[in-house]
Amino acid sequence: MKTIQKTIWMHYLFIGLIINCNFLQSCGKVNTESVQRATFVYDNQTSHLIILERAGTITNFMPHTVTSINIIEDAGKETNEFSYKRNPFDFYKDDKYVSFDRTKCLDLSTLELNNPANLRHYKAEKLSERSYKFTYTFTEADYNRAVACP
Amino acid sequence: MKLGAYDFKHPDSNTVANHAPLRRLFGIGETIHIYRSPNPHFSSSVDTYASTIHELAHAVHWDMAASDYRNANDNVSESWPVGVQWVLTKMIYPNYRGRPNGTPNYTNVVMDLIDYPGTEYTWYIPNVGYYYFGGAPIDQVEGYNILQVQNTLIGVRNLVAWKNNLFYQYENNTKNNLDALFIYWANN
Repeated sequence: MKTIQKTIWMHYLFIGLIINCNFLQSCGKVNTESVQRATFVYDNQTSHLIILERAGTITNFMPHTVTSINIIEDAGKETNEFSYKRNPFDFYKDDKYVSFDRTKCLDLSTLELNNPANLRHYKAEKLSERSYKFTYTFTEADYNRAVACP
Repeated sequence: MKLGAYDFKHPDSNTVANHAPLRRLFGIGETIHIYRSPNPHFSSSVDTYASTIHELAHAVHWDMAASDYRNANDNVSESWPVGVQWVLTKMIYPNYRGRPNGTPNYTNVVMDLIDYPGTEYTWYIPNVGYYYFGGAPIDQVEGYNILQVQNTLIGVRNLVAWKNNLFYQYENNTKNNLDALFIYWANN
């Protein structure tokens, strides 16, 4: 009789443990909302002033100068270089032109190669957890392929 | 339900808020932690309020379907709170536009289920030169309410099951467009 009681007690303990494990498993999930950081680095190796103009704001990239723009944005559960979708040249509903000295322009909506509006055309480098640096280099080749501004 | 509001940034400098049901064990800890936002462009009281609602929506999900909450794909378990934060935050801050798009799994599908016409928003950050995009302009679905959306979460672990529950559990004139809507958000 004593042995049977022990067995029943152990069965209940076993069931209890299973319920507890299931409870703890569902409790154990942590949902965290995080941000990710991006540093966009623009290396203007040309001898021309590069002008980015949108929404009434003008950003100048001086000749032979490196300019950095820092961004913080909402992030998903994990961050890698492909978690970043956009960049300062990827603007919206404006004319997608960037000009050199206000005379020659690149139409960013049509460029298939070396397009500063396309983040995949940047050199990506991980700085730390959830922090990446994206570098785009403007060269004389960019100036040479630009055409007269509209 | 205990909430911990911390007027400092999380030590990892990236965490905005989190929800951990285990911390509520024996009523001791705070299930939800809210920190000072590390994002200077989204750190006003409305953003803190929205983050708090987001975490509370996680708590509701856990409370009504713990097993589904644990096993759901991220695009379900995060899209639901994104929708709730939009609906409830707007009640206090009418100009609130919801969470910006562009983060994998944090979709605006719930906004799409409710609103018409869809609206797209942009935030421009002067002196930085950067746009955030928000809103849900692409859909042909409207007229569900947040309670219906909540009820259809039970038994759901992926977007397809969620869409099927909406289709079969509630009458809606636009429900034949649910497929297109959920396919869009499954890929965005």
